[in-house]
Amino acid sequence: MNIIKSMMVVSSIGLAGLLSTDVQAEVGNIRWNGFLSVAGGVVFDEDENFRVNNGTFAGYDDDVSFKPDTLVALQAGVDLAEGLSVTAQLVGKGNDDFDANFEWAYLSYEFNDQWKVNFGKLRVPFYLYSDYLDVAYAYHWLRPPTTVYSSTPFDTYEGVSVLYNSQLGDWDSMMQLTYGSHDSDPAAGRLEISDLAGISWGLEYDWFSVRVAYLQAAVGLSNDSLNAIAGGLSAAGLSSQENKFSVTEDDDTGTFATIGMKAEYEEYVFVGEFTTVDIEDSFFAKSDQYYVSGARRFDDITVHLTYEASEADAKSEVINAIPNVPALAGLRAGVSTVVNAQRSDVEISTIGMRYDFHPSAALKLELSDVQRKYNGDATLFSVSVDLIF
Amino acid sequence: MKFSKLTVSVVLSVFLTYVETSQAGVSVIVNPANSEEISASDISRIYLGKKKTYGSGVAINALQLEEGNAARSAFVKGALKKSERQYKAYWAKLLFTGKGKPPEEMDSAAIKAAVAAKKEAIGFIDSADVDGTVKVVYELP
Repeated sequence: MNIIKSMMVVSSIGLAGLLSTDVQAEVGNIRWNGFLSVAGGVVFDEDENFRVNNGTFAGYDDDVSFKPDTLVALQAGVDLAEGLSVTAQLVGKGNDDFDANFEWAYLSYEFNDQWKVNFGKLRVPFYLYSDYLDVAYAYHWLRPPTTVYSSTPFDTYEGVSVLYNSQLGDWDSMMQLTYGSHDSDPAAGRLEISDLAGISWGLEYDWFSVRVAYLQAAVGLSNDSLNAIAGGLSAAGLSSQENKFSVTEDDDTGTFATIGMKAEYEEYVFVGEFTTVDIEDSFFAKSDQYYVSGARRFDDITVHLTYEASEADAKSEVINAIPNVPALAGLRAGVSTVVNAQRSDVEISTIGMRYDFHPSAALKLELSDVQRKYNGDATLFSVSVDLIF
Repeated sequence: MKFSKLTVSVVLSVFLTYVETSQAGVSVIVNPANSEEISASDISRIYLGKKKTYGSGVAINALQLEEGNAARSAFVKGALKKSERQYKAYWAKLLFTGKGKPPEEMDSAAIKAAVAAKKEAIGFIDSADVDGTVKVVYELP
């Protein structure tokens, strides 16, 4: 139901905003495309630590679930006059009970082969696969490596991006400038991102490509436990510590940097990415994560091995700044819980197979060995069918 | 005699494979009135969505054979250095990120007719189908 209702919204997008009769004549040519992933998975072989610490990985627990990686998307595209186009992509995810959301909805103006400007709701160019995160058909994994691809708690923004494509000798250069904002309510609380600004630059030569990106933003994050801690620290007269827990857009800047490379040579694919994220002067730990993945195609079958890791040290100085006296024991315990929850020491090894059983569809099987020092170990088996239409 | 059917089909399939691989090449064609300079690298860039206008600034109208056509597979492999799957995944990426839409698909006769009629059109067909209504700018062996 949601999807159908929202389809109508998509088809009216082209019509609603753009009123000239010339434009309406063009709107008859809406291009509809879509993609679908049906995926299931189950965790087994989990250790005690895993069970105690909420017992999930990538959204899966020890009951078979089809929600975390299942999604359906419809995309509508309309070419208007000279270089102007509208694109809207509506995605319903199993995790959101298939409530459809616009992951993309933007107006694009292409000046020429080199310059293009997009306005609207767009993907933040954090990662190599950011632009087509949801289009599992387009990559060899069932899902992109979770450590790197959850470096930040959001993937989209509202704003503008300027794309500049050029050729440097035999290399193709793709530069993207980003500016905008984002508001959402992820599990961590209320997230408010403003003045998100960044640059992403990719270079591609035949079978080899490399990409770097740097983004920063004013970050606001609040939830009940952070507010309670900030209130307690303020009441205790520890204002410099209080500041670390009141994460507001006025004085907290988050930074994101990444480097990635990909080589696609004959039947081999090798890809790797490294990301580092920090919010200065906050209780958030600086976190580093990376993955490397190698795949080999055998006709319709692709086999891959992927290793990923993430590491973050809790800012123990934030805990130690609170006097260890009986009167502040409760507060100190609360602070250390929140600060220590930032620790991360994760290693995940995945072996997977993709079988292209149809020109537009692939079957994938993956087995991930998950080793998490603070959240426990387990094995995840997942299977999916990904298709485009 | 029991094996004859199998034998025939084996021989036939070997023969067909031979015929398929020894087929005439693929020709990239444009309108005879199109005097743009088009290099092998331009052709690859056009079909990978990186080049959308000719040197003169005229917008390119790129056409391609339908999926499953042997000449298309040969073109994708020879000129674009990709398998059909990679080519399809490549366009899925561009399509679902609003970065481009794949060249329109049609059969050999329709491509030839469109190229013969439109000055900005470019297509590729089996070299055996080429005639005087179109101009060959590049040929894959």
